[in-house]
Amino acid sequence: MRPMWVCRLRLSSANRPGVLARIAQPFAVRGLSLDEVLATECDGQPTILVKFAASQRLADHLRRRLARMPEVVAAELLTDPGRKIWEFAK
Amino acid sequence: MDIAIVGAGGTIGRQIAVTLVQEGIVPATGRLQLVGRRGGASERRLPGMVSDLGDAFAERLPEVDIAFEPEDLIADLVIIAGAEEPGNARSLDRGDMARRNRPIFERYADQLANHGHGEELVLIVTNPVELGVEIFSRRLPRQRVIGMGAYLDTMRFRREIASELGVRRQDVQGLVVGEHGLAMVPCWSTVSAWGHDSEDGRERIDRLRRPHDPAPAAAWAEIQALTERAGPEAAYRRCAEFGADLRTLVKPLVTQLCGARTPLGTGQMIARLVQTILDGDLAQAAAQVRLEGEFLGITGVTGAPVVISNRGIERIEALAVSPAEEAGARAAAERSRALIAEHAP
Repeated sequence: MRPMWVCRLRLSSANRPGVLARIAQPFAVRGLSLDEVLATECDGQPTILVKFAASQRLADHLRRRLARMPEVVAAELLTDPGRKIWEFAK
Repeated sequence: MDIAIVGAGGTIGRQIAVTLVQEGIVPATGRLQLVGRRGGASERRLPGMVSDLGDAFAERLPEVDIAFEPEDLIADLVIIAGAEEPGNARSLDRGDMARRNRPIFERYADQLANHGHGEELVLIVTNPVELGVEIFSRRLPRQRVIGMGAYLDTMRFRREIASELGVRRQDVQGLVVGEHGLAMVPCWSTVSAWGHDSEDGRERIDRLRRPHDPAPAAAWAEIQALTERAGPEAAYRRCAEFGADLRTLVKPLVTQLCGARTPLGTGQMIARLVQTILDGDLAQAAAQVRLEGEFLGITGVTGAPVVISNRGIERIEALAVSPAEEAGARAAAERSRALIAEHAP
């Protein structure tokens, strides 16, 4: 069974349409489902969290891939020990 | 698929990028990464190039990402087109190219091996393409590493035959195996053309052969000297006297020497292959690959008949060729082995 991950994406303040679609795309083309998605604010900064299952290598690739998006300021990969996704927003 | 072009600021890399966008091969929802070199001319050139692409193709421009470090390379399909500029811009010496470009091959191969997702497809355009295939194949699964030299030579060979037969290139089959250089092996035994299956048609194809043409090395030296002494027009006129196989070798030499290089042909042919890969289709062609005896029992890197898909080299064809072509392919593999032994032991 593949491990679960949460990728926390801190976005630049300039919100642009289509960001969520572009975030979902690299998952979709690999046939990966997003188990949960949360759009919120962390420390006053727009943040999107996505929860998914993938191998360590692929999860790291996806993190690096998302980090290269122009709207993304930082992308972190967090393991999921059963916590709810909103707990990662803190 | 996300596509990256290493060496996107160079003449060939830029043309590949433009063609991929212009023809909609990378869709507006796709991603194209242009990779240059920190401290090189491309560090200044690439941002301007992206702005220009936006002006030209705003309606269909994909997400374009610029990167300058191997660590930032992220793509599913990686086109290696970067090269260290020679001191002498016309240097075509393979040993010289190997010394200059080996570090590029190693940097990006290491990066993909250590940080890639493990299913990247690598198309190598940078020369010597055989050295690039060897270095990448040591670090990645060999079926995912494709040297484009024999592919480009094959397309040029088909074009030369088509122009003499008066048909279109897509109507001609035929492969060039061996080295992307003097030891290339245009295989007449693989040539066929639509509408030429009859005895008469076969004879027309056979008449294209010029058994009295000079040897490749002699023709190469003659054309090089003629281009420098009398200019490209005289050199192209002399090329026209050769058979299709020899023209495949020497015409790009003239194009290279006269400063035009070969960005349009190379960019277009690479883009067409990328289109085939993205469409999930199969391309029956030739490419430099690391062989383990599949073609003529050869081991090592050389140009061979292959079927390419979105998984890379789908299979290497155990194609029967004439005894002379077989000898040529073996000699080419030996030359590649010597080059690799000297530059990447």
